[in-house]
Amino acid sequence: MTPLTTALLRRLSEAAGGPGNEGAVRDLIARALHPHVDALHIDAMGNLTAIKRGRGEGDLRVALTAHMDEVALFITEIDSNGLLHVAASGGVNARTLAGKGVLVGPEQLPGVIGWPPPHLQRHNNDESKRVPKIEDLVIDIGAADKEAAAARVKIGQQALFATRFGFLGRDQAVAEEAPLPQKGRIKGKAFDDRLGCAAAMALLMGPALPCDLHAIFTVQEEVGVRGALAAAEMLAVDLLLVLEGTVCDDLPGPVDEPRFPTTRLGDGPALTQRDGSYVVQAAVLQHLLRTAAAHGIPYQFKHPNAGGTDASGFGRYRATPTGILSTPCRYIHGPVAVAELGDFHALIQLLRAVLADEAALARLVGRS
Amino acid sequence: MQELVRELSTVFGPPGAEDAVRERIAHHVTPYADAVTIDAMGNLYALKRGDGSGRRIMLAAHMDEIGVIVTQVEEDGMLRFSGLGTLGRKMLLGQRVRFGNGAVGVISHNGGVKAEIVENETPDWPKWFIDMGVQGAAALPVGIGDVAVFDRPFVSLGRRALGGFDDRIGCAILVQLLRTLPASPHDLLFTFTVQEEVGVRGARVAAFGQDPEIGIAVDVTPAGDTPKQLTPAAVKLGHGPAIKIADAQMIAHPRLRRALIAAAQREGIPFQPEVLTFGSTDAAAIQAARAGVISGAVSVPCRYVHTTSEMIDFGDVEHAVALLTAFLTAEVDW
Repeated sequence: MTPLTTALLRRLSEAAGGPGNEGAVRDLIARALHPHVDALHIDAMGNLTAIKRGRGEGDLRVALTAHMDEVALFITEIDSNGLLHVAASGGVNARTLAGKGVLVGPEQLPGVIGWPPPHLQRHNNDESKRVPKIEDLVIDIGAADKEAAAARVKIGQQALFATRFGFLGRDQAVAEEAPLPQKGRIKGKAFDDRLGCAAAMALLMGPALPCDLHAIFTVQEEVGVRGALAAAEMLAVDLLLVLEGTVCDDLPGPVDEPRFPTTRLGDGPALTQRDGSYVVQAAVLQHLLRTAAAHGIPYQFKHPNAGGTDASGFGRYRATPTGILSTPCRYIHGPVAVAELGDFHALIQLLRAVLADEAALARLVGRS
Repeated sequence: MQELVRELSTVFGPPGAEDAVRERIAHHVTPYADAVTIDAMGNLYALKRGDGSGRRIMLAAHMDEIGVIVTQVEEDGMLRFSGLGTLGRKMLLGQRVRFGNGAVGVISHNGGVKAEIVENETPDWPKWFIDMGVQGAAALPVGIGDVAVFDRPFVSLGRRALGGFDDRIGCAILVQLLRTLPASPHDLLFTFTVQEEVGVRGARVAAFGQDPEIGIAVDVTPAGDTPKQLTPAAVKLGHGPAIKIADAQMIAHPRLRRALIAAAQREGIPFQPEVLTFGSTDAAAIQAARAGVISGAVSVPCRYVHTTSEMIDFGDVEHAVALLTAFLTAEVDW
């Protein structure tokens, strides 16, 4: 039985947490974890660390990590029409933004990202082919002019997608306070990496494990693993497991081109062999594969050599054995993502199986 | 020395899979070192203690070499791949790659030989593949995530040689130093690093963990003495080891650079100043560790770096050993 409720995952997904503005996410995680952990600590960068003591005799220390921030827009200029010009914080595909609803600033002011309607595009040959760039987009918060907009919004404030968490393809409503369903497709924003945060929380909120469990919820991953870099020097654990919501591009592509999706929805958690910024130690990967096989947990390999995670930041100072496990999420870094709960729960199941076997962990990290 | 270079330069060691290189080097250094250790990332350390009056000096050479990684498998058994380390696509067609299990394949691309040779078109990365000579994916001896190196046999040209020397030549110099070095006042940490070619990742944790006072990378540097290079460089093959002044990622510490030059002049060893406008070495990572480490590099001039035929001159290699011996056996006077 998962300790996570639908309401908690909804709040995680809907919380506003652009890079450098993770306060709301941090508060939510800290409050949810408080009854379940032995210590909570926030460093000067804003990284949140939770520690849950093990019930075992050993002194093995394992850390889980997930990043709290999500890609966001931030306000760069308020023009004379009261429209807000924006830049991106983290990697955003501008083509996915036009016409979407956003929430601006700490007061969550509703706004919409404007784009000319099709009527006008037909009158202008070039317009129909124009691909929006971030600097072409504006947020309309309903202000009549610059003065009215400036009274409500400040330059530098973040704008995040106004996407509500929900279920796809489900006939009956899901009880908010009941345990998260085991299967089914969910949609929402910020699955990269609130699903990682939620997976770490599931372990901390569950029964005690043999080893001491640290969970580091980092800031500013999307703008260059900056929170992880700050936390890395103090990190002294035997094993680090990075939990991510990762790219899933298992959609139809150009007809004549072979398709090699990064991951596929529903094929289980994605294990990283190596990505663009980190090589997972062979012994760690083999341990994850053996554990998955022993417990009949499905998994898939993430397409090698692409992307990067906090593993590179945490790997900057100490040579800590590190694994990377992800829940595949379609359409990440856009207004709405889709994930399969079966993949998410299987990832948690694999983590729990790995952490439950202290003797095998001690052998893995050379502490037996 | 040629035998050692021949041996080390042909061991399989793409970034992140340096095990075989580490094993060979450990075999060579263990009889001469006071302690041999390996960290969690795979960096190998051989410590040679001084008499207690000197400094703690890290000498670093990287064990990894350029290679490729399988990213996808086609139904017909062709392997899609991407590069490990900086690779020019123009050099790929027809090259052989060798996997850790010994399996060999040849590289081609969707356009085929005609596109490349007749029409002079070099396609983007996703269009390249490795042909393992099997009929169908089920017969493949390798799979997604497996890594391979280019087939780069050692060929002696007399004083010069062709092969895969970046950076096994640095590894060989470190091994030779450890074997031949007279008593030194310094604690010398011979460090054989991993994953240099994908962003000096091994050296970062090595320098953080070992906390040296002085760091010296021993690596190759591109020679500028071939016709009409796009990026002029003054370093020439056979004119002595290069003492790094600067590259794209670091400015060598002036004290260390001056001390290396003084050691060369004292012993009459030829050397060349090195200013490299692109690329870097493990020294850049060592220099930036903790509160900073006085760092520099001694480089072996090398033509055709990151191709299947890197060319070096053994005179430069022997002078590099002599230069480092002169520096490491003297007191550091700052």
